[in-house]
Amino acid sequence: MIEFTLNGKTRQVDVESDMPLLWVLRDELQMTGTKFGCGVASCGACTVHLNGEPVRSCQTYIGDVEGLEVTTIEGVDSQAASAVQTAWVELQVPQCGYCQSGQIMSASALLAETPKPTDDDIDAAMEGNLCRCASYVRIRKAIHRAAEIMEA
Amino acid sequence: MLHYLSQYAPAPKPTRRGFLKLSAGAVGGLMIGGMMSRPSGAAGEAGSFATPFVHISPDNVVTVISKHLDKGQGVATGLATLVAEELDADPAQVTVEFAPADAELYANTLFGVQGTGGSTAMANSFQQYREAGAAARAMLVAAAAEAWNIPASDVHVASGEISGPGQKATFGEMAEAAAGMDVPADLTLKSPDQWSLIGHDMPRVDVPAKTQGAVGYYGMDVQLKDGLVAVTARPPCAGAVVASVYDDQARGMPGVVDVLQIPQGVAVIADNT
Repeated sequence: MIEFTLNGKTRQVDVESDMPLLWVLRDELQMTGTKFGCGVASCGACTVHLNGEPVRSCQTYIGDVEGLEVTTIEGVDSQAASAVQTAWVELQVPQCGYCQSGQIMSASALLAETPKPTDDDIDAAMEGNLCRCASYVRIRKAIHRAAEIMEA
Repeated sequence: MLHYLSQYAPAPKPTRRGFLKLSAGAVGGLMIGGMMSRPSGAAGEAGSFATPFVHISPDNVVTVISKHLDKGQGVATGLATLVAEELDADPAQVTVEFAPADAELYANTLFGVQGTGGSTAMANSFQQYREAGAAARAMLVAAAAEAWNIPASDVHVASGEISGPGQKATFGEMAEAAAGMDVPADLTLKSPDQWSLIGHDMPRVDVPAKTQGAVGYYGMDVQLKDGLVAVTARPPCAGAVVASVYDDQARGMPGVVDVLQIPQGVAVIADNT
């Protein structure tokens, strides 16, 4: 039995310790807000926060999550995340939307650490989150907008 | 879950509680014949107005049934806008559900089958959905005229409100009566200079959900009770065929139900991913 905190609540799962967190979230816990895109940490769709840090859940073993705090798109609640979500709606960022859970988790983590990111900061933090619809221009604008919202 | 149309830009801040959720497979109510034949399968809900493209619930929600799939190209919002314009609805009361499979009711009139693609959605729907909105409006007007004993020409509709001399009603309040009216044979559609919604930037109904995990929005996220999952191993070159399969190890893994040779390669069937 592996115990960890998920979106503020203690959870226990009875799975092999090498099951990736992404599979635990989606298959075991039916929390499908976090998406499967590649399974090999190359697309960023599976991004969640582990003790506040962005990680690719497809390459994070559940055994390594024991006792830690996991935050997913369904439960992310920080000032940065709220600003990001507001900016995302204001600027109509998503198209198909499949990558956006991961984009938002990465962007929220960036802004929590760097409230006024430069374009280079955004490149570095976000380059692992792919978007096949190419909403990148709006993502960048929305991160700057979220920084403005946070400052206000 | 799709958000409501809104004429306010920027779109309102999303709340943690999410958006007003419409009952799945929502309203049915009295069906009408004529140019809009009966929706397939819908169960009746008392007090509703229901045609294949427009539903109005007693609690004043207008649901546009989108025959096209929205993949982020905005068609759900576009179709809802067409209806909202001709219906003279308040955009904040209009939301969208996707149509069930029914090639007769929901065909792409340019394809002949039910389908979305080739940049045809708005083109093939532009007249059809405006007519659907205009017809619903005409039936609401007829219902109000009858209820208030006034000529239809004395009934006005604007922003979701129906009014006459000393009278007013919401769409929801008139829905049941409207369902009993005849489908109009002639319809007058607005001219472009009368448009207040069509041609304007409408915030997309799917955007808020997509900033909150878009749960249940993708085929990938559908989890059927007792459903199995299949994944295919494909050959390294086009046209290659399976020579032999060693599947003892695969079959021995927990959850694996079967291993099948298919024309495309080898499929593994399991009870989880």
